[in-house]
Amino acid sequence: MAVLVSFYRYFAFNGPRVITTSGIVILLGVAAIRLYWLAGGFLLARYPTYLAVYFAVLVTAAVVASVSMVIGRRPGLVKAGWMLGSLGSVASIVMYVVSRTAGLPGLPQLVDRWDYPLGTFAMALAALFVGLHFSVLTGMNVAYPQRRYWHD
Amino acid sequence: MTEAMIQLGYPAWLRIEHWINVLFVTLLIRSGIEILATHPKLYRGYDSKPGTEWARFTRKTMPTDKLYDTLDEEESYSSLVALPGHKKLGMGRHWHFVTVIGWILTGLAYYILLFATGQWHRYIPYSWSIFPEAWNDVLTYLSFKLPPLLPGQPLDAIQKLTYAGVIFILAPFQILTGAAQSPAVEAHFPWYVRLWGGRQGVRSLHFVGLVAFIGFIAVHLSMVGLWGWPQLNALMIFGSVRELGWALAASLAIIAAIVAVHVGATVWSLRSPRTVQRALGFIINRGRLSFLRPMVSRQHYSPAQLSTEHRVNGKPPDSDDYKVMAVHNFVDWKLEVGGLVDNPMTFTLADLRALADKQTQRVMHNCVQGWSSIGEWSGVPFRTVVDLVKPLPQARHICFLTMQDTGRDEPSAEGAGQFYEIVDLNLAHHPQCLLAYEMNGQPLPIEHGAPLRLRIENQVGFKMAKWIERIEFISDYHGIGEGMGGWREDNVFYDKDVEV
Repeated sequence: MAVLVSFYRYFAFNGPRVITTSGIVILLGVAAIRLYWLAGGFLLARYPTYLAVYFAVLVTAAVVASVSMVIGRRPGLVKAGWMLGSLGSVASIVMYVVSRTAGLPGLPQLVDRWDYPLGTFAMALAALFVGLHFSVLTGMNVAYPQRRYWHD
Repeated sequence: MTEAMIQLGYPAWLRIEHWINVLFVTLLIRSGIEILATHPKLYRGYDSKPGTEWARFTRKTMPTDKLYDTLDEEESYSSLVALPGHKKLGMGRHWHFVTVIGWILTGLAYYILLFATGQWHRYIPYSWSIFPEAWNDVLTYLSFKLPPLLPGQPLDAIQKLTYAGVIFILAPFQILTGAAQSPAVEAHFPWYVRLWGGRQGVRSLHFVGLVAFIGFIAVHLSMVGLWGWPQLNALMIFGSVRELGWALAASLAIIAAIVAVHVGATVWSLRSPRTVQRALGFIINRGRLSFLRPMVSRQHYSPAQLSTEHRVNGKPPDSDDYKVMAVHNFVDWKLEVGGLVDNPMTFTLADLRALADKQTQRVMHNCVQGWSSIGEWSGVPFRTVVDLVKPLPQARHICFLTMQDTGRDEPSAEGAGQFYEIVDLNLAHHPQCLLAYEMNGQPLPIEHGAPLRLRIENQVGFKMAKWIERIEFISDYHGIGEGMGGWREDNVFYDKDVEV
């Protein structure tokens, strides 16, 4: 483990705007897929109300997080935005995996339905965001408005 | 099985080339990482101003309150990722260049055989319908299923497009971006560097290509696993799905042989770098002198393109004599030019300034470590001095002796002794071969070689000796130092001729 951490510390990038833009694009992708599902594009024609509420909450969280991530004047708000994005992403992955394994209340027909490309893609986007946020938290990347200050 | 399927099977040449390619690509990756280690920072544009890098692959932080040079920034990577590892740039360069020659020849043979045997059908799409089919394949993979193969072909649509991209775009891209980092190519075709967004831009693109190759290899291996490794492995060994056990044994033996080559190359380079330098240098130099030596510098960058900061490789002489001369603006400094010449001469700085009209050139400086900058250098054309001293017919090389004592002045360097470099006499006649006493319109700064340094613009930076005190015309250099053609060649195993 120590070797892996040591290896990881050899990588550092200086692209705060690219990182923030990537994070926002990913989050908006996560939101867009849920909006599409809310608008009738979901795998099932009928589903429980709580799932619609969950989709709406996820869309709201993704949009709020995206806006927070670019309000550079308040670094605390930016960090909160990234954290909210990660929480939403992790929640979406957990919900997706549970729906395909143990099953969600009122949705037994989703169990073992891994053959849904948009669902897999949504899960991949969420994982990508969590990975990106991890790289920011651990210093491999910096996000706007942070800077590197590499003066040597 | 259709006729097309038989034609697009796995002919012997394709299987052999596949495994040779595995060897070359892995050697290129490891030796490329060794080269990256020597200046583990990536930039955009033309120069390498400290602090402007977009990526770092180092944990070192340099001091801001004292002079450091780029040798201090060098990283020592493990042999697990770099060939040979442990700060051996000279070895990494030899392996990278000799492997790229083999890789290009393998690639050319592959292209010829692809088109001569009709195997190009397996990679090159000839219908627009492949794009919607590839999209459907992506959706199928996202459904955790395997898509259908293209009719009569060994690949599905997205695989076919990916292989076409790697073989016909990514591989040439790496060769072209690699060539754009040659000082000779850059000096002769400045537009070519511009095409790629500058010297550092192209270095960054070359790195992106490396990442793309590593990504391709990861996905390729995953796909082999998903589609049935034993069967595909047998296809790549026997050309057909049979004798899976023997195919497994054969592939393991081939992989073991490839690993053995890597281990052998690493151990050989670490234990006996001189023999690697001689053996691989012999091969590389043939190509280098044939293709790159004729490229004469014709650079004329604009004043607006001058770099605001010019990195330093090598620390100035730390002797009392040098310091006294520096305090007196080098009025006491003298340059002796002798050896195999008709008319040995001694010049002061004033003599050199009066010798000919000052020649000024705005050119790119390429350090062997990969960093670069654009500077304006002024001085006396070296051919003027050559014409004055009149080399004897047997003179073939020129030895530049400097005031730097590397053991004393350069703790980061491996080796000790007076720094010297040897260049071939024919380079002295290049129009931009200069004995420079000014940089960017000012007297040459101490860290850049005051009072006099050499500029040969189609060579890597270390050949351009700084702090010069004597120039000797010689017929043979094998009796000087370790006999390899310069201090860096003797101690860090670079090649004497460094057009790349």
